[in-house]
Amino acid sequence: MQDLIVSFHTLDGVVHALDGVTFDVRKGEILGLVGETGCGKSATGLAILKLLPDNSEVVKGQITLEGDDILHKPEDQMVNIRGRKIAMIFQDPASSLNPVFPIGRQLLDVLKIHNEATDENGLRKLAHEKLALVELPDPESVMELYPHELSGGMQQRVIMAIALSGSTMLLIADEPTTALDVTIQAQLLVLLKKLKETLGLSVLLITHNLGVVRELCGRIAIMYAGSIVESATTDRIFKNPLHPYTRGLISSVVTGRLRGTVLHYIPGTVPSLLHPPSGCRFHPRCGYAIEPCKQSRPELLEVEDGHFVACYNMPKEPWWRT
Amino acid sequence: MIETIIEIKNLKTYFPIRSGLLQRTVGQVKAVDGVDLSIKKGEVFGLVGESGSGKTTLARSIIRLVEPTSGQVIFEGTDILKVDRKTLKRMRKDFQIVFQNPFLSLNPRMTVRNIIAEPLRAHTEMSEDEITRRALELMRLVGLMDEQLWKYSVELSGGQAQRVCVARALTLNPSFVVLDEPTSSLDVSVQAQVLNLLKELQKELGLTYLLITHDLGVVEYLANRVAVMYLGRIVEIGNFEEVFRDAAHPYTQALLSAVPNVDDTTPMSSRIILRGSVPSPANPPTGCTFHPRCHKYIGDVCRDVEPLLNPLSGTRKVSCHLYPAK
Repeated sequence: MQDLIVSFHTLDGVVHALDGVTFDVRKGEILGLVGETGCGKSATGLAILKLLPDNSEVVKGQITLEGDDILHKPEDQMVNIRGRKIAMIFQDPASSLNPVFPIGRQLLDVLKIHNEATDENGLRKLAHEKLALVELPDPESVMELYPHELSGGMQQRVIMAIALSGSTMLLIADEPTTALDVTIQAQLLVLLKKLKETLGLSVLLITHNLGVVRELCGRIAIMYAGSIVESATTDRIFKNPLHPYTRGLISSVVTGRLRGTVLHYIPGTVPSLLHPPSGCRFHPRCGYAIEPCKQSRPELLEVEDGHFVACYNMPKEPWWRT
Repeated sequence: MIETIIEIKNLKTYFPIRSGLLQRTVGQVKAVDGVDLSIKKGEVFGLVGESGSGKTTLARSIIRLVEPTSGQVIFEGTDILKVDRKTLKRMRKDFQIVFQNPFLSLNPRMTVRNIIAEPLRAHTEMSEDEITRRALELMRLVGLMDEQLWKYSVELSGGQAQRVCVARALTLNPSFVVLDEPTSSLDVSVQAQVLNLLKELQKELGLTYLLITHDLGVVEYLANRVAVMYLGRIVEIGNFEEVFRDAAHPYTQALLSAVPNVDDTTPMSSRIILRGSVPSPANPPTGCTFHPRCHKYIGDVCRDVEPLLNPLSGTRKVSCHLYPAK
């Protein structure tokens, strides 16, 4: 994705939701896209699949899949990509499944679309394979169940089986474990990692949970108010974050180690994208802001090998999480 | 000797399951199933557990927002469950609650001033001028600006709205405040602000908190003592160091191990991954309710015999057959 700019036309005016989003997901890696509520991370996921609502407008930018431009693909070609090469799963698994059909039927329907030549028996066999892939035991009886008969964790596994029913290369996972309990989240994170390794799957993991990305992702892109402010390997992001927002965000995470200290926080609140601040959108909350920050938006530049930062006045002092 | 502010004895809250034409009771959901604990004056008591473990029902039962089935809740010498409505209303001045979602707990048609004024109108004879003065005093206390007095909740950010909820809870100078997931709906950077505020207020006003959350980081940061709940029962209780540094119950161990932590680079492969999910509290497993998922299952005893919450060491109690009563 290169410099994607997307606006939403609302009754209140134009919302500048994505303001130059640039990142790449490599083959067989899990990239973490991290940001707070309303920073545009979900809109980014939807933009890749061209699922943005009608009131949106892609102003500028480029999205390519293996060098092939998908942003300007007509809808009749997009259907060969959506769900087949790129699939997406969402936060609340229950709302992604149809409550009135057993899950076997829902899985078979999708498999049928992606495997036109296969007969009913072949499809059933395929369905069993997919359910085994997501480690659901006893596929035959699971397929007879309705969504409400499954726990949240099992529902999310079914969704993943459906998402993998094509020859999926890229899985966009939008907060896939946020609605689930931690012990269930741990199960799914292990599964996601296994799928990446066995299938060579690429994953764009959208989340606000820094703990999850630290554990799962090879690289991380940090998003603030509609643009990527920093991206690098996970190790680098946590050991030497360079953007003031990244530093603030990591410092704000509450853990037991901080007991007895006053917690660090970022002053102010996330700006409205209806009237975003001029220049760097983080400057009103930034302790390092200088004059140019108010004038123009800093570009995302490679400051070290594979470490990109969009900041005019990067903190010079070394960093550690206090 | 530190004074006990609230003592809970064998508290049970069951919800009936009704079914059929006559809505006959066909079963019970044992949301809280025999909980004993005491909270000391001035401490932060953390209650952790996954969804469906009964932690919220326990908190609501304690302050009688739901009617418990049986047991005792002794607050400063009086059993809250025995008093009549009038006495309960008077007592409620002393215990307040802050909920998870501030926008759902603030009336969207009321201004901040009126939200804070409601408890004052209900419990005191203050004049409107006095109410305004008290509202401003509270707003400053929780870090809101004076001009927000006439704002509606929709005009506030999540963090500001939660501050209003905290201000409202503090209007009548309570001694005990239940915090039910107070920061779970807030963004990371805002969560830290609200936690700083809660900690400061606790110290300044000498408050006692019952902090309910699934966020173990928040509990480890703030709580003095911790209880871990599973299917309506306490499986482990102790001071925060005992529980977090050296968890005894297999469920506590798994819970702590499951949390992806920014400070912790333990590889995922060394984590304890539990099988399956929390069973339905309407039909809990026999014996130790955790046994079908337990990674330290030791045999039939787990399946057949209900373990008791026995003292382990120090102030800690654990309900597990791995640690037989001495």
